[in-house]
Amino acid sequence: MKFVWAFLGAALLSGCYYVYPASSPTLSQCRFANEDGEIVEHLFVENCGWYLFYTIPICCGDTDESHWFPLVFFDDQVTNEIIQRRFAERVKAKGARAVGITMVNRDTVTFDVPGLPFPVVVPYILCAREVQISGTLIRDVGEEKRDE
Amino acid sequence: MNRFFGTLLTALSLAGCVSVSATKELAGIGAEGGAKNALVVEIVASGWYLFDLLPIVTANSKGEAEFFKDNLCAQSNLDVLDEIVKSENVRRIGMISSHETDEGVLVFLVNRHTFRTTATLLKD
Repeated sequence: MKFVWAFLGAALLSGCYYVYPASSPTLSQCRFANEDGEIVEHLFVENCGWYLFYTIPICCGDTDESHWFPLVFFDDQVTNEIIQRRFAERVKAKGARAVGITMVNRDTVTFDVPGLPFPVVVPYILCAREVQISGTLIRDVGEEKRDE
Repeated sequence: MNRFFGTLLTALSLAGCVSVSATKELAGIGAEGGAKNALVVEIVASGWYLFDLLPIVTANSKGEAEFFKDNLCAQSNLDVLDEIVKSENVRRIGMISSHETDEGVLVFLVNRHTFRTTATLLKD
């Protein structure tokens, strides 16, 4: 029984929402392919969560950064729409446009258990899901800076 | 028991590392925007987390393992890329892409995170 509680507790801690902006003075002096304008930053946004029967969200990272608690329960926030919206909000706040956008969606239904030589498959009972998006923000030279 | 934890800590500290692969095999084939040489760079930084949340050991942008500090992020990888851009005197970038992968070990107790950034640097 203790194992089950530890399992559930650890699982609930695992839903996380991250926004990683990254910039560098050297890169901002480079051109991005044939685009005009300066490179503002490279942006990476990720959210992940746990689902029951592949569809019912148990616990996800909270994409609303104004909330103090980083998790939401029974609220599906690991979707392409929500992550793309958060990405777009950041791009707009920077007064930039995004180029070279890539997205990654991943589902995991296999888990390593100590002592077993193979991962345990828990098909459609418990599933970990994550959505990631990354891109490069470019601002036309002379355009007004609108940092958040 | 102490020996076990010593071995575990050593293994974890070795496992939090940064590897940089910068290949020039695409030189001369022509790339985006008429660039003659493309340098494909992949920066892979990894680290171990307790309960998928608390950093045990992660790699910093210098490739050193740091305990209880979360260094895995886009900025850390971009700092490494910045050094390559400087050293190769690159003026144009074809693509930058990042993604993260997680591996659960001991069910959810310990997780290994890997943050990858791939970039195509264009040289005329």
